[in-house]
This record gives sequence, structure tokens and C-alpha cells, in this order.
Amino acid sequence: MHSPPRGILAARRRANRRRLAWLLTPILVFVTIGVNPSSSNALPIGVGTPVQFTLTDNQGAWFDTGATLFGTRSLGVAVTPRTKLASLPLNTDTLLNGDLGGGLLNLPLLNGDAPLIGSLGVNVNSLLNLDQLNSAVDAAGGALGFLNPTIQRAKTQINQLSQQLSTVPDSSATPLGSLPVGLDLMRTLKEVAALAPTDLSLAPKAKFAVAAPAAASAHSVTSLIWPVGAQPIDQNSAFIGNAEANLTEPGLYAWACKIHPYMLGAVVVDDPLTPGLDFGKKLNVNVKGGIVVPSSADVVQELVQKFFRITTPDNWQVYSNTQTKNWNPYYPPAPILEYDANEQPVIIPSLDAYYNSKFTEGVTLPALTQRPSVPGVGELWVDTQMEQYAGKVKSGAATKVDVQNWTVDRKVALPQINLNNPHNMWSDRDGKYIYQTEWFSDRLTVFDRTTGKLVRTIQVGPDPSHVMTRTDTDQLHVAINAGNAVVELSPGAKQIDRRILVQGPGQTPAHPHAHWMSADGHTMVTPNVNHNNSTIVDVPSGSIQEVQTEQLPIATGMMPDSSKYYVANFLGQSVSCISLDGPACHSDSGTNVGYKSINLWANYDMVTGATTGGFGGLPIQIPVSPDGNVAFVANTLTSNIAVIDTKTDKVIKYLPCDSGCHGINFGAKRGGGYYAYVSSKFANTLAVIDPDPNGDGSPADSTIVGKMVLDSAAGTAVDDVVTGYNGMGGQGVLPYPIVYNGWVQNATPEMADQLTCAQLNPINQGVCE
Amino acid sequence: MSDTTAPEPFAALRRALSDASPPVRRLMLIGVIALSILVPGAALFAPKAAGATNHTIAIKNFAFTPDVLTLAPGDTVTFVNQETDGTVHAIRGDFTSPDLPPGASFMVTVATAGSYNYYCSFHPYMTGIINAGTAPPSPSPSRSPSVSPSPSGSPGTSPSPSVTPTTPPPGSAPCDNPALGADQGDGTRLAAYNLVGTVKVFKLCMSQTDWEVSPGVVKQAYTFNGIVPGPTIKVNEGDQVRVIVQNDLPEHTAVHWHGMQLPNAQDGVPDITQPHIMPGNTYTYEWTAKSTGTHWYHSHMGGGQVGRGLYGALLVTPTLGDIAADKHYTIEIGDGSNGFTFNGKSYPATVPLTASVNQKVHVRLIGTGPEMIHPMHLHGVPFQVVAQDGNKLASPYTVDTLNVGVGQTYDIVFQPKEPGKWLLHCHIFSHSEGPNGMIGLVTIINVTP
Repeated sequence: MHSPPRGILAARRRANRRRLAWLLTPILVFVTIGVNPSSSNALPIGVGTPVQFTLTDNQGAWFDTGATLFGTRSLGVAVTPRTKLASLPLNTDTLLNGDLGGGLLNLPLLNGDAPLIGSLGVNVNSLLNLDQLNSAVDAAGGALGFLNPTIQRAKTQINQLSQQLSTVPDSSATPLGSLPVGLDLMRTLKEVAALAPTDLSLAPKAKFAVAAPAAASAHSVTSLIWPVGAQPIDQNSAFIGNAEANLTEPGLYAWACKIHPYMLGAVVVDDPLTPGLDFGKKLNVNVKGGIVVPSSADVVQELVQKFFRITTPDNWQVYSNTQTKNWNPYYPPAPILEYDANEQPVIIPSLDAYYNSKFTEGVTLPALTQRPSVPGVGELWVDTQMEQYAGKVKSGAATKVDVQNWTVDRKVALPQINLNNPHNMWSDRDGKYIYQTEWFSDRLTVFDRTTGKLVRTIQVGPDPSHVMTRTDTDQLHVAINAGNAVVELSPGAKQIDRRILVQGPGQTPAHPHAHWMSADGHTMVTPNVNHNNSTIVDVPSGSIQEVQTEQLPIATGMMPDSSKYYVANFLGQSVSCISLDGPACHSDSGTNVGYKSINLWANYDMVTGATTGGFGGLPIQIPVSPDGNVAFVANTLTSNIAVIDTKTDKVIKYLPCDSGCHGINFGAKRGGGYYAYVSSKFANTLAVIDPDPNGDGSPADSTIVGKMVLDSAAGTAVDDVVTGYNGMGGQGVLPYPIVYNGWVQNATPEMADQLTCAQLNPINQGVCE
Repeated sequence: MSDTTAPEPFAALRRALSDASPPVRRLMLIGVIALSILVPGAALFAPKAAGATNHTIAIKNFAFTPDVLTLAPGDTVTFVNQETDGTVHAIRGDFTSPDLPPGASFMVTVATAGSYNYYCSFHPYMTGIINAGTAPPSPSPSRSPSVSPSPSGSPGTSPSPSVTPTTPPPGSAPCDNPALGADQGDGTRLAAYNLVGTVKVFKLCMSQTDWEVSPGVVKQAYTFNGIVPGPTIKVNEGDQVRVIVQNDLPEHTAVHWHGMQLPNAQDGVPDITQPHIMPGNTYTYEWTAKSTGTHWYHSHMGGGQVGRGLYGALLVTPTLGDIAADKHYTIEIGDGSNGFTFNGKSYPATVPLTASVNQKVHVRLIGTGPEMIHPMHLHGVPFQVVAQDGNKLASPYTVDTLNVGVGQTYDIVFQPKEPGKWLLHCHIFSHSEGPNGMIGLVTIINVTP
């Protein structure tokens, strides 16, 4: 079941060989450079050239080292500086086993079993990096090492480890304590390490550059994972410029941009005197307010797996409407040293084989032939933000879907303005325009909804993320994600009327992401990624009130009667329910409360990975249905959708979604009811959910009723030629007509004619009886 | 580049006139004519018009305060970065500043009436407006930074800049109002500086000051900017440095930049590389920071001046980055007429250092003398000696006691393993212990879990 067709494997091998040719590019410290001109002696490896990340607006290369390692441009390797080990070469290729050929990737099972390490046809010492460990031990022993019994014992034990590991399956995670020599070797290596202590003055560094033209606007570099003992980095504001991190401990380091949290970079700092690449003993993981877990914890593997699924475009899910497709993500086939909950070492001979097995990878993606039996009303716009075009440098287009025939109608890439990462959309009262945010730029762009032609673009501030209109004035509000405000513009986005500050004076900028507006246009709520809170804005006066949420609140959705709203806490792994006018959230015991946190990890053990029911992770968009019966939450970690019953504020079920599940919004279903349209960042799909097929008002029967690809196809009107990642990157979703309470009442007569009385009166359905 | 080159005045005037709206243009013309009648021969855009006011715009918490400032043409505006978290800002738009680290300031003179928009290049949502004179408010209420030209042509109506660069007003001699920068948490303060073009300009005032070295013990010290040790001059490798020194002492002196590779004339040895700086006189040194690491500066006149406090740390951060650590401290060891002091204080007045278990603590030890060698000993854990006299050691070594001679500097790094109060002291008993307990060359490292 793990075996892709032979042709694919062969092609992948060829591709990997091509990649390997590149690998001499030293993202890592190949050359040792003296830090001080006056000290002529060579310094230990890991100093000198830092791992340099350039932040970019480009698909899959958001933290770009400039070199591709196993498909990702966002990974670096460095080495803990130890005295006496200065002469050891550091070769990323060797450490990650790129030198052993691409044939190690996605190895098939043999008669249903994982192959044994010794049977792979490659040198076991090279595979396990024990050759390098031997060299490091020799260097630590110095010229007279052959007289040192500790050195000799270490070398003997390394040899024994090699033999004992050759009989374990390649997909295993083997506790060293389960091998006769394992713990003895670790003790001996500790003695060897005392001969070559770490140089406290030196630490490998990671440097980060945010600058145009690679990155048109501002970002943050925020530690997501770092070993206990090392210091995390963050900034008080998104920035343009430089940042750096000292990688003082061996282990796994990962950073994300708080504004665009799928922008990820990682460095593994290897201690040369341990077997395998070190993930570290205990890791800080910046989720749920900050946790410390053993490096073997399930949550670490989940995040590392997502790192490779996100930053390696080869690992994105490519579906077809007509054919099945094989999807088999790959990882570096490198040996990894982790530690379990008892602080005992665990060796993973090949990360690739381990993850393929642990996550049951190598699956067939079905042909997407299912379509909703009932058409939708109007049209649907989805921002396919990762699409690559011939006529421009920056990524992405807006994709229009015909929801009667379920075809891709149009792509608006706007090459003439180099439209940069179109993220989220809304429309005006007359349906004349699509308001399009450019999330990696500073512009709000307006194009004609009917023709796709550019109308105007206006600079609003760094990283505009979401846009919605005000139902009373038809002005629009654009959240400035790398700033401190939501900008209010005149209808048509002709000019900026007001900057509504969403934090108090003297506070750092809140960085609001996906705000929501009340039906009457008088209340706006923002999730503030920089303050871990939400701001409730009285729109006419601009006065604000702040409510604490959990970590990295990213999106909001409000009840049609404005009684309460929901906030998805991306790193908090939770949803906050916040009442707007008297307690309207439901506690688990059924009482009405002002605030409730819904823990999406209640059924998930972060260390063991054990689950006691469905769970969601890294939640993003969270709209409430126009009738107020259900909130759907798109979970990007777990590729699923949480269904929250607004009458209980509990997750009642999960629906499947695709890689990078991201955007959801509700549109009208012909003849009554709604469809929720769902996009996924790292899959070229659109999913259609019927939230209430039997029409009883309960979302218990919500289900997926159709799926299709968002690819440009024959018959798709285009303004540029897609050259890569067709249909990929689904984020903002805008069904037109807008059927939320407050907006639907303003629908044009042409659209209103196609809506039922109940759809036109979403919370006042009595008038229809 | 308003900070480096003065705009040619008539070009600026032409631009200002052509960009201004007709009524403003008329007004400006009248003003210019009036001015040229009233002040024949005077420069049209004199940086300091009589009665000009200096306004301050604080840059703090990622905002300009005030963000809208109204002033009279000819007034000066000083932007001061008051961030406490290390954030660097830089002004762009109608004004252009160099990078402004915390403590740095940037001054412009707004000579011409008009409305000026500016923003921070690192944090482009930080915006501000300066309205000079009777000019109408900016026609663009958006104040959106013009980072990249918008294809639809956003209203590019901001008046052209007519800003003259200024060095700090001549009135501010080093001793007028000696400025100090941030407290370093170890009893030292950073030196404040102004950026003039790309040059970091420091001002040092040498004067006699009553200095309390421990409770009730007051010495007649000689100080740079009123403190012992003098403020720490911290710059980056490659920085151009100017230090304006004023001698308010009753005796002549000079300042030597110990360990710096610099032109001979800037070396600060009286009678050999320069004349004495006589009492009341001011002298300017200028050099480029080439020697990296931990160094110091001191008077080079009769060791007694150093013994009374005329020394300070001089730290040059290498381009490739500083020594990696979570905490950075400096201890300047003194044994002159102020007594046995760490950073100008004798125990129990020495400032305790703080750290957490397992944090990497970097201490720069500077032997300022003027007379003695001090074996510095740390309790609890040994330390690694990673650099000497600013030069990184290729092979760091680990000890628990290190002799620090006069003129020497050492960089040591350690990781406390246990919480508690751990001593760092000179191990010559008479320098650190008295009949009633610890005295003199002693400080405490407060290690928290």
C-alpha cells in the first residue's frame, strides 16, 4: 500500500538526483570563517556562516534558504560547536542522507512488512550517520586518542550499534534502551563529550531577512519550536528588516510568521557526538500558550510532518476531477535522535520511513466526481493563492466557480499590477465589484465582478488580510494584518475614510486578521494575532473594548442576531465564544455564560498521540451559518472541519477536509438552505458542505455533498497563463450573492429573485409563513 | 537624502512652489519676497531662524507621539527612539533618517510651510504628519505610506521636502546637559549618541563629581558624564565614531581608546599624538571602529585620573555577531583612590547580576587598575574564557579563577546550575573581605530557577 507506481518512483529518483547536484550550495557552514580577523585559528563548525533565511512571497519558499533539501527550501542544518571538532566537515547532504541517492524515499513494504535497515542496500553506517559519529569521536580523542580507552570503547560500541540496528525495521522508532549496546554507548559518548566541551561563546545562528522585492511587505519571525535551554525569538511588531536567533542548544528549531502562519522555517542543530540528527531532549512548542514536551511527543511529529507537507510543494495534494491520483509525501531519509517521556533516547533510522508508516502515507486520492445534486445560487469566488502565472512574479489569482454547472469560470490574476497573494474578498451592495486583499503587499485591489477587469488599487497598509462591507453605508473595512488598524474605505474603495485603531494608546500593534461585522454594521470584532485578544469596535464612534482570547486568534464569525461571536485560536487549538449583549454562550453544563473556550484538543494527548474522539488543530476560518444554526471551523493541522452546534457551543462532529484546510463561507442553495464552500491551501480542491440536508435546523446531519478541483481548464476565462500549482492555495471564499443577515436584505433584485423568502429573512422567518 | 546633503535651496523652492496649491504658492511667494527684503543677504533657508522652536517626536510602542504635529516654518523637530525592547526605527517619506536604534535621535529643520508625511520603513503602518505654518492639511486623509507606487496613481500630492540637515545645536556642548543611555543592569549605563549622517556622535564631559562608592562613603571622583565608570560606548564594527570631549576638570588631560586600531592622531596620548586638552577646552576624536570585542577608554594622564574614575567600557560588536549569551554584563574593576570597586561601587553597593539556571551569562571583565592584578573567582560553576583583549580565543578554556591585569579585558561565559546567591569576587582576601564580612571587589549573581 505504500508503493507508488514504478514510474513515479523512478521520476522522483531522477528529480532527487537533480536536486542533489544543487546541494553543494552551502546553506550550512561548509567553510569556517574566523569571527575575528585577529584570531587566525579555525573555529569550530557552526560558526561563521549562519543559516540565512530570506522571507519571500513565493509559493512554498516563504522562508527561503536558497537551496532545496528534499523538496523544501525552508530547512537548514547546523552543528553544535565543540572544541577540538573544528576540523570536521559539515555536509548537510551527508547528514540528511542526500548522498545516498533518492532511492531511500517512500520505500515500499516487503510482504506487508517494513524492510530492515540492513536490507536496504546502502552502507548502514552512512545511513545512520555513524561514520560521522566515528570521525567526531576520533577528533575528540585528539592525536593520542588511540591510547584513550574511552575513545576506543566508544568506537567499539558504535560498531555494535550499527550491527544491532541493521535488524530493526526502517520505519521504526527504536528506544536505544532496547538494544544491548544503546545506553552504554550514550554513556560513553557523554564521557567523550567531556573531552570536547561545547564552546560557550559560539552558537550557530539563523538569520532572517525581510526586504523587498522578495518580500513586498512586513512579517514576523516567531519561535514555534525550540529546545529547552535555548531562547525563543519574537518581535513586538511585524517588521521589514533583519532578525536573528542564536541556536545555543542541539535540537529542532522552527519559526513561523505570526501574520502568515504557514510561513515556516526550521533548522536542526546536530551535536556531532550523538548518533542521528538531534531533535533535542525536551522541546518548547509554542501552542496552547506554550508547552514543554519530549522531542518524541506526537505533537512534535505532527508539526514536523506539516512543515514538510507545507514547505515541500511536491507534497501538496493534487486532485483530478476525472482520475485517481497517488499522494505519497516524502521526508529526508535521515536518522533522528529523539527522547521519550522518560528522557530515554530513541533512534529513528529514517524519518521518511517512520513518517510514512506513522501517518499511513501513500494513499490514492479519488477522482472528484461527486457534485451537489441541487445547484447553488449565483457564483463563488475562491482565492487560489499559490497559483503561479507567466505574466507576473507574485503568486495567486481569484478563481470564479459556476455553482450551477460546477465548473471553473474565470481566473483573475491581474498580471498588470503583479497581484500579490490575493487572500480574501467581499463585494459591494450592487455586486459591481470584487474587493480583493493582497495579503503580502499593502494594497486592496478592486476588480469588476462581471468582467474580471481591474478597477483600481489603493494602498491601505501592510499585509491587508480580510475585507467586509458595512451593511448600513456600504463602506468597506480592511484589516491591516501587520498593522494596528482596520481601514474604512468609501464604497468602491475610492479613498480611505478612516483608520479605526483596534488597540489602546501606548500598546504595540494588535495585528488584526479576519474581522467580522454585525448585521447592522454597528459592531466589528477583530482577532488580534499579536495580542492574543479580540477587539470589539463600536463602528460609528470607533471606540473599542478588548476581550482576552487564547493564543493567536486568527478568524471570527458572528451570529446573525449579533448575540455572540466565535474566534478561532490558531495556536491555542481552541475556539472562543464571546457574548456581545448578555451571556449568550453555552457552558458544557448548559448554563448561559459570557465567555466559553472550546478546546479542540480535549480528545488528544499531545505526547502519546492517543485520541478519545475527533480533534482539530490549527483552526482558521469560522463562519456561522446565515440562519445561526452552525459554525464550521476549518482546521489546517488535522485537515478536517469541526462542526459546532451554536445551541450548545460544543463540537458535535468532524468532517473531512484536504491538506491545509483553510477557508469557509456560506452561500445560498437553490430552493432554500445553504452550502458551505471550503478551500484548502495545499490542495487544489473545493468542497461543498450541506449543513442541514434534512432541514430540521440541526447540523447533526451536515455532510459533504460535492468536491471539485479549482484548476484552470478549457473554457476558463483568464487574464494570464497559469504555469504552476494550478488550482492550488485555496484561502478566501466569497459566495455571491452574500446571504448573511444584513447583507442579504440588500441583495440586487436579480439575485433576490433567486432566493427564497427564508433566505431573504434569515432570522425572521416568521414573515414567510 | 535630507540627512546627508543639503538640497540646493532654489531647487527646493522651485519644487515647493510647483507642488503647492495656487493659494499656497501665492502665500509662499509673498513670504519669500518678504524674507528677502527683510533679511538681505541672509540664507533663504537658514536652519535656525530666530525664535525657532525645537519639537520632539517620541518613537515609542510602535507609534510617533504626537503623530500629527503643527509647527512654524523654521522650527526643528527631533525624533527620538524611546523603545525599550531594542526595536530599530527609520524615518522615510518626506524625511529620511538613518536607522535609529533605541536612544538614537534624528533632527530635521522644517524650513518651508507645507504638510509633510512620513512613516517608519521597518513598520510601515507607523505614520505621522508634520504641518508647518498655515499650510492646509494634507489632502490625503489616508496618510498611507508611499512604499510602492500604486498603479492607479494614489494621490501623490505631498509637498516636496525642503528639509535641511542639522548637526545638534551648537549650544549643546558635552557639559551642558550630559546625556546617558540605558541602564545595563550591572551598574553601567550606555552612552547616548546622535546620528549625524552616518556618524555616531558621542559627547563626554569630564568633571569632578561627588561619588558615593558605598553607603556613606563619598569620594571626590573624576567622571565622564557624572558617573563611574563612564558611559559604555557601544558601536558596531565599521561604525564611524565621533567623540566630543569637554574638559571641566581642574587639570589637563586626554582620552585614549584602548585596544582600538585607529589613526595615530586619534590615539589620545597627550604631548605625543595630540596637545593636552586644557581645562575648559573641548577636543574631538574621530575614528572608525575596526577592533572588535571588549575594550575600554580612559584618560592617559597621570594614573591618578583613571584611579579617580576616568574610564569606561568601549564595546565593538562584530559584524558576524556578538558572543552568544542570554545575559551580557560588564564589570570594570578599579583599585584607585575610589577604593576597590566594581563599576564604581564597593560591596555592598555593587549591583547584583541576575540570571536564571542554565542561561548563558556573558561577563566582560575589564581591569582598569590603575595598580593591581585581581584574580577573579566565580562561585558555583567554572566559567569559560572565550576572549582576551577583545580577541576571541580559538580554543576557549575553563577555569574558576582568572587573573585580570591592569589594561586587560576578558570575556567569560558560564551557565549557572543552581539557584541562589553566587559570588563573583577578587580572590585577594584584602580586596574582598573585611572584619565584618565581604567588602570591596565583590558582587552577587542572583540565580533564579
